[in-house]
Amino acid sequence: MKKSIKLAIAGNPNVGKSTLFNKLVGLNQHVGNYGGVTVEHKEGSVDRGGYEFVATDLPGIYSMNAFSPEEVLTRNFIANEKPDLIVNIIDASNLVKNLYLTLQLLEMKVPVIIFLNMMDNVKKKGFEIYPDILEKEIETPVVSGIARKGEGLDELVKKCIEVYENKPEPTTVPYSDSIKGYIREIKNVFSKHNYDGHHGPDFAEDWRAIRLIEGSETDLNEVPAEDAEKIHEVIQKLHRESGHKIHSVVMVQERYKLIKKVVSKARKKTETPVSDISSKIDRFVLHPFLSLPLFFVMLFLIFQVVFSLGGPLEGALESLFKGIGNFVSSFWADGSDSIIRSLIVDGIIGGVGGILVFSPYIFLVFMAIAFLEDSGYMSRVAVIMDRWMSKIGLSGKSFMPMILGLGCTVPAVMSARIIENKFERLATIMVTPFMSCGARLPVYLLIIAAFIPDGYQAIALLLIYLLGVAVAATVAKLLRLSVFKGEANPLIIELPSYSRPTIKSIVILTWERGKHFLEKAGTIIFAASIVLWFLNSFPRADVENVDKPLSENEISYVQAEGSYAGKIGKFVEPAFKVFDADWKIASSFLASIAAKELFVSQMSILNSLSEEEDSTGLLEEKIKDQYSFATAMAVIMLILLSAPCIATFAVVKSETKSWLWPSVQYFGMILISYIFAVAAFFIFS
Amino acid sequence: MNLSDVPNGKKGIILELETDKRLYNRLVSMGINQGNEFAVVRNNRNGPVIIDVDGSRFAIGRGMSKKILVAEV
Repeated sequence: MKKSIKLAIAGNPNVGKSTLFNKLVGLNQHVGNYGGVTVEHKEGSVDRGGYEFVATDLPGIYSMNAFSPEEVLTRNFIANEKPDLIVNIIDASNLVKNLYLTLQLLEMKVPVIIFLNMMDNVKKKGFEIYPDILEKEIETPVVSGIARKGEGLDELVKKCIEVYENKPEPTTVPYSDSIKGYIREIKNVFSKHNYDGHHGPDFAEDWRAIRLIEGSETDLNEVPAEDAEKIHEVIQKLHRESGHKIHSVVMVQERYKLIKKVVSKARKKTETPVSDISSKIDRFVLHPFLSLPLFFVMLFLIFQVVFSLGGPLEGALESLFKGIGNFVSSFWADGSDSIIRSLIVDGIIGGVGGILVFSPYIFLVFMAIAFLEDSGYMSRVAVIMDRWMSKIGLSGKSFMPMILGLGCTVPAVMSARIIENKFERLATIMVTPFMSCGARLPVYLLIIAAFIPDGYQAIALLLIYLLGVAVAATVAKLLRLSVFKGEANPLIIELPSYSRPTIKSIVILTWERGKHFLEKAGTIIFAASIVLWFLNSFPRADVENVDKPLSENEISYVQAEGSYAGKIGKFVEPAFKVFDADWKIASSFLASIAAKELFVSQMSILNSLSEEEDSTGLLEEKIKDQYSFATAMAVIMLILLSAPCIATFAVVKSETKSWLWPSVQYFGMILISYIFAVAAFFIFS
Repeated sequence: MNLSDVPNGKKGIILELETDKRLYNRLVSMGINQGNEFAVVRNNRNGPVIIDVDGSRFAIGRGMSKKILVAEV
């Protein structure tokens, strides 16, 4: 039987981890340029050199201090899964920073192989690196190469097999004798007792001693009180000797002392570095005055592309679903009122299709995000916007999700993954639906066309959008002052070098995230469509026993009025009466909970119009006749600020892994929109 | 002086990180450590300070940059 080597790939963000992983196992995934894109770790296996390699791509991290979810995941994976070896990929052009994690991995006493990546960038930075010297100094196998081009891969595989077969004694990090002495002293305290299992795997002893030196309280609590006292004494002695006040400083400085020693031998300065393209681009992108206009031009172009390509695609999908609906309908006799036909055609195809027609927008927005991430621009956006976002208790990283919300809330919510701080991320997700998405536009257009005189329509539309932004900002600030209280998380972000995104990686990322949307949201949308269909179709209206035959439009109206949806609309009518609206608006509003633009189609049904008619402006006329200006403004508030669509609910649920936050958001937004609606009515009447 | 006082294009050395343990570990693990040299790439009176440390470029929020004590070289 083939021997199986379990290996894990670990390293800093943006050092080519996913690239190496893809090249190694042949499974294609995304390479992100933005710190922490790979939140979930990925696995793959491949046969190489007569061995089966089972590889895991761990998230990009800078250290093993377990302060972030990614660090905890890496630590737990190494401790629990016990990989046979760890390939620590490091960016050869940033040796000092990268070796910090390397040392922490070595402290865990697991077999590590260093892959020195991006060797081609070293020269450009004016350095020469000697891998053999690095290998000797750090007492760990080193393979150098360029993952992007597949260089050094065969050698890496060979080295993995060699290490796996020989099982060399794990390296003891060559720290100074003084630190080694303290580590030994602490370990001596451990060994006097034989305490039980929670003491962890074998490698934990050195590592635990180091963590105790760093002042880890959790580790100290796990040690029996008597030992803890002795260990405390040892550490006190160490601190007196080192003169450092803060615990963790001793180890940090010890690591850097070693790194500087190693790097000074393994790396030589050859020539002055060539001014790299990234700095030249940054001179414009991060320019004090140009950065904002440039960003908005970029944003404008993105929305331009999304809407100009999305429109025709949406139209095509619409006709596709209509075609499928007609085809399925043709199995029943003309004018049949079969419940099953109605369930399949109106409920499922109509409902799910009605949301799927938006998937081109969603995929296009994902594609734009992938482009911005892969090019390296995304992290610059966080920098440009940090100053403004910090005023509402968020950091620059929250800006992109919020602005994407103007296109479609679903990808916007998903893009909030880039925010590491949990409370900031939740606050961002909670307010993103206030940003007016594309699906709300048809409703505004209808109402604006009916009530706002010609010259003022554009400004009215702009004011609606700005109100959404203002409410989002205010609610974010309030959330950060209350439920999601916490010190503002300062922005500390690495700006990767710019690189030309590959079509392949963009397609892969877009598909991965788009698929996620289709899968996660699909199930809930499917269920919700059936519920909505049921509410609109039952009880069946009696259209047989009437004096004169009804037109199709009239049948729709009678059905809608008598249905549960109509009844609910009438039941909640009193709440809508406050701003002079009737059950038709109430029922259309309820329909808009599935998807915002359904407000328009439900209004046409309730006003006995067929689809062909509402485009001719008849609906506008009818609305204008029935409702006052103030009522119309109240309805705009409802559409702008009320509960997000089902797809958003589904995605917020899966992104927060909780039913609580999407529910709070849902009902909170309904309440807020209602308050604004009533206020708008009284202001304008 | 602190990092936010260092003008564009100037070089310096990091002396002290006046932060809590969590942020301290975060900074040092990224190579922003005591004794390390840096060059200021961008420092406008507002917004984050951008520095270059050993070939890596970082943006550091203004508030944070005031807690990083430095000396110009």
